[in-house]
Amino acid sequence: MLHSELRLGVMSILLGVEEADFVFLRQETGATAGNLSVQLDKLQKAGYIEITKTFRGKMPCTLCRITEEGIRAFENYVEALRSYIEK
Amino acid sequence: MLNLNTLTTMQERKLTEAESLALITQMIQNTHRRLTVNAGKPYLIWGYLTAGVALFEWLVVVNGWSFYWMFAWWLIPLLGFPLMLLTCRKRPTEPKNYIDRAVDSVWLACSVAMIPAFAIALFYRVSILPLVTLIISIGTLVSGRLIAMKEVTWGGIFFMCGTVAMAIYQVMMRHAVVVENVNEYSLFLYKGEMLIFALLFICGMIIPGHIINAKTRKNA
Repeated sequence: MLHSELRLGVMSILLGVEEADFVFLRQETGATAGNLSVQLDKLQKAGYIEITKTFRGKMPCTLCRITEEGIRAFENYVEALRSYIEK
Repeated sequence: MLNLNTLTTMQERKLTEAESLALITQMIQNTHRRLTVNAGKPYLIWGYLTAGVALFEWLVVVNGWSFYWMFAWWLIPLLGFPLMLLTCRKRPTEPKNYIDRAVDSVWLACSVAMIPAFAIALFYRVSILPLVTLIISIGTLVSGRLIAMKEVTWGGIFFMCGTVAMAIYQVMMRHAVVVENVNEYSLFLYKGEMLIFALLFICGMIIPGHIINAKTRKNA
């Protein structure tokens, strides 16, 4: 799940913030809205992130937050990478 | 090996292990840099404002201007909080991180602590300046540790040393008034206290604020 460039990028960003909105994630990753939307959906279905759709004033706003499960998965992934590289 | 300097658009593609680690590092650093640009601005706002007002009050005392100019101290909160709201509020799309929340909480507690400090100064008839300096020293020191910027931490330590210096000034002033009954001397010390107060904000907030801004802009 995390071995994809965009999904890993999103997870790395969300790890350092409380929550981030869709616009910020798009700016940071440079991904297209469509592609980012698909990847966020996959991460949500895996239980790695929570997505809240709300409004900021009259503008719709999509907020993403990493879950406990997402943090654990990320830690395991980094550990696996480390052990692979150290071999 | 993926060249992350040329990476602008992320795609749905598989990465090698080394690329993955490089990407994680890069994204965390980018986000941190983006969120810390102009992190020194609050220190500059409060530093310049407080030092400016303290120096103005020093001029008031030195020149013997009207007592009512003492109310100019209230310009610090009256201008400081609106300026913070106008210039330091994050754009709605910018996320907050846990450190932001912790730093905000520390300064909220420090701001509220000014109320009992004011009451103590009023009821015990002591100068409020050392109490303010002590509260600011705690806020600055804890913030410096939280945001891992040693300039701010040193600013906090500087404020703490300044608190001791100002407490000594208080003792000398009281001694001069009560024991020696020299009012001229106490006035001289009071002027000195304001200058120390201004100097503390210059060294403990303005200088670290400029250093932080320079550093974060350079890294951005």
